[in-house]
Amino acid sequence: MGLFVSKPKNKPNSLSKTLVFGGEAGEGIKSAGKIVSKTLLNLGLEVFLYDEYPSLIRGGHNAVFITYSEYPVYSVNKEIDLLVCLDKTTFELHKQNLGLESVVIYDHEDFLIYDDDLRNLPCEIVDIPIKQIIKKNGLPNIIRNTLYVSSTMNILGIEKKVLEANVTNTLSKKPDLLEQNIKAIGLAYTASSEYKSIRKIPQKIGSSDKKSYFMTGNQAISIGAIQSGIGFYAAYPMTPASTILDFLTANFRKYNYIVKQTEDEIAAINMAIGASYAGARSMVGTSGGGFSLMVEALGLAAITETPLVIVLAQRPGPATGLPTWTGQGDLLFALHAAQDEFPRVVLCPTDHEEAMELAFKAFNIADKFQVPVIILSDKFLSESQAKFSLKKSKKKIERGLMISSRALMRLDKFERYASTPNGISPRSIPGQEGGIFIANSDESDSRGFSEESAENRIAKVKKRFAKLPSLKKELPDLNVYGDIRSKICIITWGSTKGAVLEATRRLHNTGISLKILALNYIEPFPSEEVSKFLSSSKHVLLIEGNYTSQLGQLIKIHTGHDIKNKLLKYDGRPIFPNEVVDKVLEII
Amino acid sequence: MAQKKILKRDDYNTDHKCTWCPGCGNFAIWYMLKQALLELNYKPHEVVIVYGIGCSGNGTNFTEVYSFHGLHGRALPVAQGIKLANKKLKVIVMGGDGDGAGIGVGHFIHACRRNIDITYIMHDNQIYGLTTGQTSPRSDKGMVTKTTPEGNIEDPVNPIALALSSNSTFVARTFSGTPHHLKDTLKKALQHKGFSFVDILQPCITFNKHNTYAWYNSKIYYLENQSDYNPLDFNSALVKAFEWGEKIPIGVFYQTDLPTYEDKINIDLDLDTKDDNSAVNINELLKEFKV
Repeated sequence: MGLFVSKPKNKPNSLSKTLVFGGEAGEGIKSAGKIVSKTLLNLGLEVFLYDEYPSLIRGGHNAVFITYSEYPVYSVNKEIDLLVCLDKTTFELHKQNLGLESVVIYDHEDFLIYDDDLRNLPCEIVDIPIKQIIKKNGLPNIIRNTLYVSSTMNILGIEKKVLEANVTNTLSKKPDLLEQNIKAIGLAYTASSEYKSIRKIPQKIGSSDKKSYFMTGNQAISIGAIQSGIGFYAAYPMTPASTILDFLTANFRKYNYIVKQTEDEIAAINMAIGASYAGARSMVGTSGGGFSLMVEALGLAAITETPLVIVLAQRPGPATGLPTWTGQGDLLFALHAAQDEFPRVVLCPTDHEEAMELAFKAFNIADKFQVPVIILSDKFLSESQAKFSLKKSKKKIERGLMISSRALMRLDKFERYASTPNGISPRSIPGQEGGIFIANSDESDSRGFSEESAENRIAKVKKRFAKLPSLKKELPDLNVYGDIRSKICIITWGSTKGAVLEATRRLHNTGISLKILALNYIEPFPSEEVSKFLSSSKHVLLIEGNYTSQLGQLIKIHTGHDIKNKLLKYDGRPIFPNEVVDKVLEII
Repeated sequence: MAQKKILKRDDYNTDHKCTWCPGCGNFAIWYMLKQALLELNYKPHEVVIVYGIGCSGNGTNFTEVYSFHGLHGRALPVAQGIKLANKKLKVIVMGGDGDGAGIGVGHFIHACRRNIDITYIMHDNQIYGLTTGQTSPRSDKGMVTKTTPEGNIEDPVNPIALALSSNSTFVARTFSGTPHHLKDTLKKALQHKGFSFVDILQPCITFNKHNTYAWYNSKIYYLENQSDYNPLDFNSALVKAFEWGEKIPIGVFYQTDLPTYEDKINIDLDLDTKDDNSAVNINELLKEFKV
């Protein structure tokens, strides 16, 4: 709780570069991204990686965006410094984002690039005869991506042996493939020798001895859940939440929890509620479509006061929408899903590190307050990869008020839903003698028996909402970024923070400072903090990934502030730093 | 609390009075389930009953065991979650034919094929009673209800055949008008290790004027009395599953012994209720992502 000022970690004058690898789905674009990002990370650079792909297994356009710098990077850029085209579509789709100093890597046997295509930009065109190399040396076609990766590495001034070491490491268990790849690296370095180091990567300044990690938001959420002692995870596969299911499944034996892929999302959430009722820390993960199916049971968790964590990784809708793209259109849905009213918590991690942190915390909040906790992510956070380090902190698993079997034996009659000043009553779990109660989807009395009297109804509604004051104290800290004295402020939520921080760095170079409030929780709404933040600003800009400015609506309801300047994006693509910069320049 | 108390049927009763219509088939099911639990010596706190929504679900208030009164059609997933989290519990699911053959039929199929050790009791009265008499997915063809004034034109769901084809390891039918058979069948189901399904034909005396006690009494016969019937034979079970009309078989259609889901995954969760445990060590997990 409260507003905390975060000091900027980066030197303001640094600019990041972006490399885009594009081709058809199935051409190894993802693995190219993996090897490139790994190589850059090994050299000590900061890296942020984002994939764009259609809902197809083969064909269609795939692209991986890798933004790197010697200083922390929080997002990917729209401007492309290096465009690697495994096909013509890549060039056609991304050429408008090329700039003065950009480099385009392609093979003239695939397609031809004309001056008109480049809008007379003095781009460097690097034509590598990839097809010819393959033909001449009798290489399989799947080696194409390695040839492109190697040529790119050479252009960046990365020594051949660095790449070779990396590939050897990755393919150590596949000797045949490794041999071919090493051969391809050599051939590509020779073929691209005249372009060696034309865009040399920055030399890492200083060395960080802090342990850092590079992972996706979903991996961070999963690790946070494991750290918090998850006992049960149930899900139906749905992009962009599926990789939580995959990751948790891969580790269930080692960490002794249960993962269940269910027949549908309704089963997933009901099973998780059952497991939680039986005493296991339980979580479900899905996207908007699956969450729509879970809505009724969200209310079931609430009325039975069964702790539950729900990961809602947003993608554009409605219905199937844009299955593999990003957006922030489910905010109000998460807040209002299920009939009638009950307290819930909606957390929205603003970066990867916080995703791990809040996933851990979500279970403690759920248990201590016996409420459903929603972790609102999106495709951009869930599937992008970022580098971060972890703060050292002593974390505790807090199960809240769970009554011991010994205490139950001393009681004459156990009242699971006894009224208490803070609305939280001790819970027993099945199997405990003397702890029998009904978890009832009907409104019920202190032991769970169905009870329809007006008095009981009022008491129970009040009991559930009585949790709010103490719950608010458990919410994460809100961070204010940038220059606290600035009169220009940006308010945003969730993963959009990354683009805003990148934009702040760029604007700082032009002498404009910003202060930023990126909300990492939305419900219960931090009215006081938001109000205080907005009151001290002359220019306010709201940024979020939806059409109707859902956070803006909430701010108006809770604080009375009607924010006029808005950057709203709902095209399925992440908000890019340059869009933020342009909007800021427009309003001041 | 005395440690060696002798269990009585009353121990399964709460102080709440039954609200079912006098003559409802639910009484026999309720009574005989308690009797079966007593005879098998299950203590109330070791048992969890998960209920759906319907008249049967209102039994939550009368039965003194750990209970979960869930959503309409969703009792089975809740029960599976409970059993997976704590294998030591005796988990029973109660729901009507609307719950299990209608809105929750998908969960029914998947629960069968998983073979989690729970007992699913379908209160099969072939009508929507709690909502005062609409057609059910179990209503016989031609049956007149509020929503089928010209007679039901759909074929009913066949829960026995569905359970069999979904690989349920115990499939039985009994009748609330034959209480001893009802109790014996429930006992067999509760003793079966794996998923056990019991379809209980149960007249709704208020809203179903078609499937009455007399109607059933004139049609049912006991599989147990058929000397040539072998409940271990899947093919004969499948043939019997489609017998419905002049003759209606009750008894155990099929039973087989297969490892349960929970035996196969073999995970015992730590349901430690102590507060303030240290966080799980994730260093090993983080290694993979280290830069």
